[in-house]
Amino acid sequence: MSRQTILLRFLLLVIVGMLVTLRANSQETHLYWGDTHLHTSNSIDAFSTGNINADPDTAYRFAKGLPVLHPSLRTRVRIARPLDFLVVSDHAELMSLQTELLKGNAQMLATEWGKRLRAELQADPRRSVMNFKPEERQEVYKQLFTIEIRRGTWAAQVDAAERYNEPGKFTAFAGWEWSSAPDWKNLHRVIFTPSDAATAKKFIPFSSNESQKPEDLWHWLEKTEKETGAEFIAIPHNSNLSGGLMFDMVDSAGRTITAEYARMRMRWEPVVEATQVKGTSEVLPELSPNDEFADFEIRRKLLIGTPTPPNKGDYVRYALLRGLEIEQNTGANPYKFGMIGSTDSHTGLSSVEENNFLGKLAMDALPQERYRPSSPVIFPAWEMSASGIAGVWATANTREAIAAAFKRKEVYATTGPRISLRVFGGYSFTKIDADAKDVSKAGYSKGVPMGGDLWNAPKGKAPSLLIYAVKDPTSGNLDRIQVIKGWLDASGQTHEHVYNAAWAGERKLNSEGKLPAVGNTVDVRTATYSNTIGTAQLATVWTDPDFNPAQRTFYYVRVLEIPTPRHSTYDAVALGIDVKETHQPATIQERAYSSPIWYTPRAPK
Amino acid sequence: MRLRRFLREPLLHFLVAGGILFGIFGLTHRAGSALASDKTIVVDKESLLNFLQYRSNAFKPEFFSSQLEAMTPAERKDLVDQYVQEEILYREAKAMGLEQSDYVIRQRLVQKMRFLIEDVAEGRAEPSDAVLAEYFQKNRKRYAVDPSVTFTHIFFDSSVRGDKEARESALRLKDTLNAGGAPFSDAPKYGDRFPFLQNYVERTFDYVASHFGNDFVSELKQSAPAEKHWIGPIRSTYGYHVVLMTRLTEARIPELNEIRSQVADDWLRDQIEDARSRSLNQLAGQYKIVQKDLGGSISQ
Repeated sequence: MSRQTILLRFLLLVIVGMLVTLRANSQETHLYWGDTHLHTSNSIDAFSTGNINADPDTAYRFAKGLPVLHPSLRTRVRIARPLDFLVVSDHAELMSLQTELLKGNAQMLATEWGKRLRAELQADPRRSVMNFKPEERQEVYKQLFTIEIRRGTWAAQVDAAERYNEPGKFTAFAGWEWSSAPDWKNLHRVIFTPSDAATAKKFIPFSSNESQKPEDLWHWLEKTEKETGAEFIAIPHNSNLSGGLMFDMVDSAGRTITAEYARMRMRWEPVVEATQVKGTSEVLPELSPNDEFADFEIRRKLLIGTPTPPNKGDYVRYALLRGLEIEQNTGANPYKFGMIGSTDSHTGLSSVEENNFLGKLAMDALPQERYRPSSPVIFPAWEMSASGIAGVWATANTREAIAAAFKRKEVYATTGPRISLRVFGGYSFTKIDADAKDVSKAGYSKGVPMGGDLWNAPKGKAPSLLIYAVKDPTSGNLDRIQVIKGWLDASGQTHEHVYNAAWAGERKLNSEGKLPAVGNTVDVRTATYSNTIGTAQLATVWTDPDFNPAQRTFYYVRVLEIPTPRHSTYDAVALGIDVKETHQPATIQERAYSSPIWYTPRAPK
Repeated sequence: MRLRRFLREPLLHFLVAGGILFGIFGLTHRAGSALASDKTIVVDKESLLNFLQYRSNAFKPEFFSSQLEAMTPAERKDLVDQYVQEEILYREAKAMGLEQSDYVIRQRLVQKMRFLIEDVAEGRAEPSDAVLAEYFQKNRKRYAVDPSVTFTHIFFDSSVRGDKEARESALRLKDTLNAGGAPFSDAPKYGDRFPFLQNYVERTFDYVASHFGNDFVSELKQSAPAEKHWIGPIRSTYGYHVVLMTRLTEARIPELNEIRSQVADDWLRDQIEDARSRSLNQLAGQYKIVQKDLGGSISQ
């Protein structure tokens, strides 16, 4: 094509576009992969567990695809596939304490505790700075967690993000973790800002030392946004370790959730981290016995390793259900959130591949250490999951565009593999839309993408989901697409149902809607599998067969891979031990979770 | 109602309170030495069952009972060995007083004590209608329902079309839509891609403002909801919007009968909280607290 014809076509397109004002731009969003939850040597617990070297620069360089040195082994490591974006989210509490002490931070060394801790760290870098006696802790915070010191350590995090942010190529966000855990019940949030460095330096990260209550965090975000113009996105994680607190029916004071609570929560927390290294928080088998895939990378221990009984406040699916209930009562839904995955790795290295998992902590890098740890551990390496990652449908790889995708919840979670997943909800999709070369064209012009709302079904119509999933080219084939539906009935009871929507091969649903298992090609003696079962792509238009237009409803999509070896199985082969000795499943079905689409009736009953 | 347990008997209160005192006695008069001198370890079914359950972090007595039954003699011997080893180490550690300086153990005991006190506090009767009505009157503000809005919109991007063109296109489309009676679900067909959502359902105004800007919200608030009438163009931070606003609910405080169980839960929670602080105060009354110079302010 000559340059003239291209220009002519372009002009024609512009004119036509203006005339009809129909939405015609097809591939409007692109898929970007990232990790919003990564710790470096500047997190006190990461440092104490062997990561004394992998700082934010290492973290961003690794994520961008550069070779770096492993934080404890000092061997060269390189990510197999670079990420598109990364948030370095070190704990706000005593941020950069050990790294700065050892660098000789003058403000810190001017204090009694600064001098003392530096001497101790020089003797033993692993000396824990987390188990102070209460009265000591108070002194340490008073001397080493001053406004001036915090301003400096935060500015360094912001500058690091700035050095690696390349709009269009790689997005680096500055962020931190608010590490609240009353009675070791995890309420942690990662907070990141898409604002520029100058704006980010106008505030100091809110820590759990200021308050352990999420309500106080949200008030701080609101106030700080007003005062500095900074934007924020807060992301709760490990609801599975929250002892029921994360998605409770009551607030921090134990009172029923009000519309004001819901308003604050939804303003700041559009998305939840549903899967990560410390387990997956979608659903619990004990509470959803009819979901045959619920038993997946479940962790039943609090942060100090004590058991925690089944609780609906710990898992995303029940939170989504509770949200409908609370919305019915108060007019506002505090749990109308999307889902992402991220690692929570403390090695500075974002790592999610089963066959190349670098572990949660720098000290569990060696298979022998994972098998028989030389010192007691709260997070045994094999109990950890090589998970997860955030898929983001955004118009560009920039801070602004990615943050906008988080705000509209056009994001999703996977347990590691880069499964591409499109989901749209609407009333007028037809089977042909699923066969289109670009499903997003019909998706955007006839419905709303994942994270969106549907309102008041036209008479006689039920919501349809247009779903398109493509396997990760370097991972297992796809087994099936499932739709998880939750709803609130007229008597105020919540219900859930799992539908099989599309699947590989010639399998037939039984009378209960269940599908025979896809099979398993894994050879545990060699830690290999073959893609002779499953399929590369699945696409469908699924229409709710049991739709009641008067009921509040949500739908989200779960895509399953065929079984592949778990990271502990690769270790077992390497160590020459029986895979049973890992006390973990030999194979897992990796998966993707879409953000939900909500349906709200005109007159809810 | 998950809070309402069956602990309503005064006798039970007496017994549990007695249990707490006994527990305190046990803590203050440490039984460590007695344990250490007792060099007998009894291994029975109950202790093994407990051991198994704690080790697996799962508490299903029937399941583990059958596990235990099904064990081969060798497996059972292994289990007994492991249990005995743990018990010996535990007793020796206690005899050496290792738990004394352990903050994790200290916190765990504090937590258990709190549970005990809460259990005592939880035995309360249902509120009468009059009591509940009074409680509701006093706390009405808490139950206020925020104003919220439901709308869909078609966006015309000023940065792509220019401000004038965006506004005029929006105006033209609004007339077309109103002439044709376009429904809510038609919105995705038209206009430009907006950075945030297509449909806003039961959303509070500050949420909408965080996506469109404050001016947009001010104008929206002044419009009347209508299920068939598209309004606008309304200006946002990004351009112009043709809007179909189908719901606009005012802020209001519901009637007690609409939210009765919620209010009853809160009333009960307050009762428990009161009883708990009374119990704690009572215990605190038995202690003399000596404050040495704390130096400066403790809180930030």
